[in-house]
Order: sequence, then C-alpha cells, then structure tokens
Amino acid sequence: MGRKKNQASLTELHWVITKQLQEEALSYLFQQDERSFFLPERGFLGVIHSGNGVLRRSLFLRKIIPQEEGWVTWTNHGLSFDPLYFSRALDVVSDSALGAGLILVHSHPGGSINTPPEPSGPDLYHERRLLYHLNHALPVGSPVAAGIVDRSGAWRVREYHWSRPTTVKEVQSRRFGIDSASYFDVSAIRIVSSDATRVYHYGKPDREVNAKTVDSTLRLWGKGGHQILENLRVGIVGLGGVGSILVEYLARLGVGELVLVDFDAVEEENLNRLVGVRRNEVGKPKVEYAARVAREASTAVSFNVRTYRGSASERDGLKHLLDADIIMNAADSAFARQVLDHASYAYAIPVIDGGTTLVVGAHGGEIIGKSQVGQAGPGQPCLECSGAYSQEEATLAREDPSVQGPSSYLRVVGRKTKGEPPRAPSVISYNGLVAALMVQRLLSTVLGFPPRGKSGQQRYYVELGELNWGPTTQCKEDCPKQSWVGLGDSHPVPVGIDPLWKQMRQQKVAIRQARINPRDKTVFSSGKHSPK
Amino acid sequence: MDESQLPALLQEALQILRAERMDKARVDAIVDNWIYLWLPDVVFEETKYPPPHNRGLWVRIPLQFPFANPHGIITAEPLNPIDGHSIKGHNPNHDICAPVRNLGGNQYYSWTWSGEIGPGPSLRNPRDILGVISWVERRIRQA
Repeated sequence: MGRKKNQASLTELHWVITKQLQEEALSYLFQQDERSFFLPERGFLGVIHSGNGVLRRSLFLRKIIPQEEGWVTWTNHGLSFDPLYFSRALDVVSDSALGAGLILVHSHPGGSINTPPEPSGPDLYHERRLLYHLNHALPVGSPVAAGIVDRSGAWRVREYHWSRPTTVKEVQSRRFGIDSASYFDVSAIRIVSSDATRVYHYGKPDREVNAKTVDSTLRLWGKGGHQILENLRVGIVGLGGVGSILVEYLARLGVGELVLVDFDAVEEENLNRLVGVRRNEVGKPKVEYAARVAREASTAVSFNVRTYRGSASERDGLKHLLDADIIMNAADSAFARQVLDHASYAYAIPVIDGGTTLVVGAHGGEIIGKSQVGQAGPGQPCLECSGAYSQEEATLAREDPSVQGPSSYLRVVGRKTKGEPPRAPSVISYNGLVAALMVQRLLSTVLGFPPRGKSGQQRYYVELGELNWGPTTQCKEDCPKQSWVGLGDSHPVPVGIDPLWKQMRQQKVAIRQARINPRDKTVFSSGKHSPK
Repeated sequence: MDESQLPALLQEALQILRAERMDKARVDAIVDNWIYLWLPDVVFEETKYPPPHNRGLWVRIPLQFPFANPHGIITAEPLNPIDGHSIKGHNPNHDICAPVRNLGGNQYYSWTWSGEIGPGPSLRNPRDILGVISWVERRIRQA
C-alpha cells in the first residue's frame, strides 16, 4: 500500500462540503462542553460523490448517514462500527444517484483549521480494512474515502483505490488484497455556503504578498485576504466586453490563477470594448490576447493563466472550469448559462453571471434595457429562477445559428436579423458597470467584503439610471437545483454541441482546405445548414 | 439506431414512452443536439383532420431532455385541415428535414415549446416525455 499522487492528469484532490453539512458533522462528532484532549472519538458514515475537472478531482459529502444508539462505539481497542451501520449505508448508497460512494469519518481532538489532523498508524490500518470490504460491496467505480475531522473543522481526507480482480487466480493473489490499496490525500478543502466560499490549502506554503503593488487593498483586507486571492483559481467564461474587463480587474487585484474559456477570435469590431487589445491582435483567439493582458496586469507574486479555446457549453470546456474555485460567466449565451447554472449546484462552485440587455428602437429610437448580475450555487437562487435565462432560450441556443432567431441580447424592434450572425449592441461603460458588480460579488464571496448576505440579482435600469436588487431571493418551489448540490459527475449537466463554436470550427477547416486546394470554392456561410 | 450512446435520462424517457404510450416509437436520426423521434401513432382531431391521413410524424427532442425542450415536428405530408387554412410555422423542404428525408420527412413545422398556444408544461424528469406527445397532439389540434 502506498500514498500516491493522483492519476496522471489529475494532480489535485479537493474535499468539498457545504457549511450546513460541516456544522452537522461537527455536531455529530463533538459535544459543546467537551474540552479535554482525551475525548472519546466518534464517527459516522457519509454518502460521497466525485467530479473530475482537467487537473482537479473533487469529492463531495452529500449526506451523513443516520446511526442508531450503539452503532459507533469508543472502546479500548479504538472506534468500533457495527455491521448494521454498514448495511444501512449500503442501502442508502443503492437508493442514491449512480456514482455514489462512502466515506468513513472519525474525530480527533484539538486542531486548527489551517492544519489538518494526522492519521495514526492504527487509523490507517483499520480504515483500510473496513473500506476494502465496503469497496467490494459497492458498484465498480464508486468512490471510497476515509476522513478525520478535528474540533476546528479541519479535515484530513484520503481516497482509496483497489484494483478489482477479474479471474479466480487474481482473487487469490495478494496483488488484489487489502494491502494493495493506494490512497490519495486531499490537497484542499472547500467549504461552500450561500454567501461564502472558503478554500483551505494543505501542504502549500503561504504565498508572499507584494506589499508595494497591493498597498491600497492590503489596508482593507490585510495579508490574509491577499493570500486567499493568491491561492484562488477563477474561471472566466466569455472574453468579450465584460470578460476582458474581468480579466484585467482580477489580475490587478492579485488573484493567483485564471482559467480563460472562449472560442471566439478578436475582430476589428471588438476594438471599441476589449480592454487592453492591440490592433495587431485582430484575428487571434481571444483567449491568447486575454492571457497576455492578464500576465501584464497581474500583481500576484506567483501568477498563472490557463487558456482553453472552446465552449463552456461543451463537455471539454466545462471540465476546464471544474478546476476553478469560482466561475465568472460573461458569455451572452443561454446555453452556457444553463450549463453553468447546473454545474454550480452539482459541483458546488459559485457562478457569478452578468450581462446587459439593450433594446433599440428600429429607427434610432429610445434605448431601454438593463444590466444584471446574479450568483448561482448552493443556497443562492439559480440563474433560471432569477430570470437570467429560460429553458426555452437555452433550447433555442442549441439550434443551428440560422434557426436560432435573434439572441436574447439583441432585440432590435422591427428589424429582422435572420441569417445574420447576432451581434449584441455593447457599450464599454455598461460592460464596466457589470464587471465591477461581478468583482464585488467575488470579493464578498471569498473575502466577506460587503455587501454580505445578499442573494439574487442586482439590476441597473438603463433608462432610469437606478441600481436595485431583484425580487428573487430563492428558487421557485418546484425548482430541483438545490437538491443537486454535491452530486458531481452523477448529475447530467446538459452539455452538448455549441452550434456557434461548431460553425466556427467548420469555417476554420474550410479555410485550411481552401489553402491546401485553392480550386475548392466551398464557403460555409452562417445562414446555411452544413451538410449532415 | 444505436440508442446506448444516448444520455441516460433520454434513454429512460424513451423506455417510458415505449412502455406506456407508443411501443413502436423509434429514433431515426441523431444530429448535433437533437434526436428525430418517430411517433407512429399520433392522435389527430378527426373533425379537423378527416381521415385518411398519415398518423406518424417526427418530433425533434434535445439530447439534453428534460433540461431542454422539444422544438419542431416533421411530417411526410403537409398538415391539411378541413377548412384549408394555412398553418403557421410550416416550412416545406426545410434543411432541418434532411436527416429523415430518405424516410419521407419533408414538411417542417418550427413549433417551439412556448409558442403561439402558450408554453408547454415544464419539463423536469424523463416521465415528462408523455406530456410531449400530448403537446404535439394539442398543437396539431389548435394549429
């Protein structure tokens, strides 16, 4: 048996728990008046799910399995779990969504939230034996893990893996026995609530802060706040008018890592709103230009930017975003909004979403509209219930551009846009307003910066010049999204093929082919269906 | 058509549809985010569409059902109401028919879930596929 690094491509393992379940776990394991270091240890079994990004695997605690009196007892030989408790746990897993597994948790006294408790030799010996048998009683591929929690709420979690024998000879082989286990330690825990996300990294030295460049904010949230930002990984979807400003703001604030996702290329028409773009970058993928801007703007001591040219509505794009601690969505696509809305609950990653709708009279009439910023994730109303998109809009965004109709962000009264690629009116000042509100939401969520405890949407009404909170503070009664929290990969996030990105890929292929064979005059226009 | 690669929720919906309503429903094409689902036996309002008429049609169902809505139906013959009025959203020979054209599908009706007769019921789980059939029948009746 041995401690190993995670699978080749996955280099991080995170333990993710809602604040509500964290409190429930602590009340199970510790009693208020107990202060002695020599406490009886307590334990429980929990249902877990897993979710994989590109670099990060996350384990989510979904449920603490109730136990009867005497099922978990503290004896001279250590903590003892009654077989009836295991039997109940297996029943609960079989009633759970496909992909559910189990964690065996016990308590250690004392502790500090920044230092996880260490497992003793007997801890490792006993948990390995118990989990080996549980692993074989669960469907293949179900996650199994062991955890230790101390009074401060710090966790030490290890995920175990055993190879399953497939022949009689292998069953008898030691290669498949209890001691053939490999395990992986979590590198961070993420505690998520409606108004806060806290990430505690383990085994990572505290990063230094460049006091000169961040002097003005150091006075507000101190070195501790800056270290949180240095350790934060933020996903940004859509690098247009709003997204490009987000990149610059977050890099300058001192965020340590950005994951940029966009499939578009810089066009001349973007020059009036893409912050930091140069004329010689027209034609380049937006992710490339934005990564350059981020590197040049960053004030973090150690800054990293990762880019993915593709769509957040597709599986690969989403996987890159699942590595993030928080996601900012600035893509004006109902499809992407729906995918991220689902992901924010299933993977317990807060999604801050923003955009502006401008409606223009057909003949240069009055301009009306609103900018809005919302936040989805555990405890927050979802983007759908908040009115950021509807299922019907998300449906039509799955269609070929020629049959989509005008985008929700382009409602030009009395003018047909059929056959034209939709291009929403965009004004850099509204984009700046939206980006600023989105960054305020991020600071509130990760640092507790004001406003705190707010939920739902902030709306700026263009014609009135007023900024208000929207009326929706929780999901509608029949909305199921809060029940998806922590399902991870077990929840079927409605990813698919992004028709706009598909069209762009086809155009790229056609251009490449035309270069190879100049006689080939095939042209893919945005208004036609491609051959199926 | 190999349905084993379809998302689990859609497979479940198809099983429910076949077990409880139309055992001969079949998937004739999968294109991008959509399946073309053949419904062999849709109820037509006889006073509005007198027989004989073809009772089969295709409905386009998203692969992400029930998290996305059906969009559009395709028929072999144009829908021909007894009073002869033209039906809104009718697109003969539309490109969208291409995946089922060799099976006779040639008339596209671009009906959306929240179209002219009001929004269809909210879709939450695979069982709601049964509501889709009712929606298609209601939509044809009120077309």
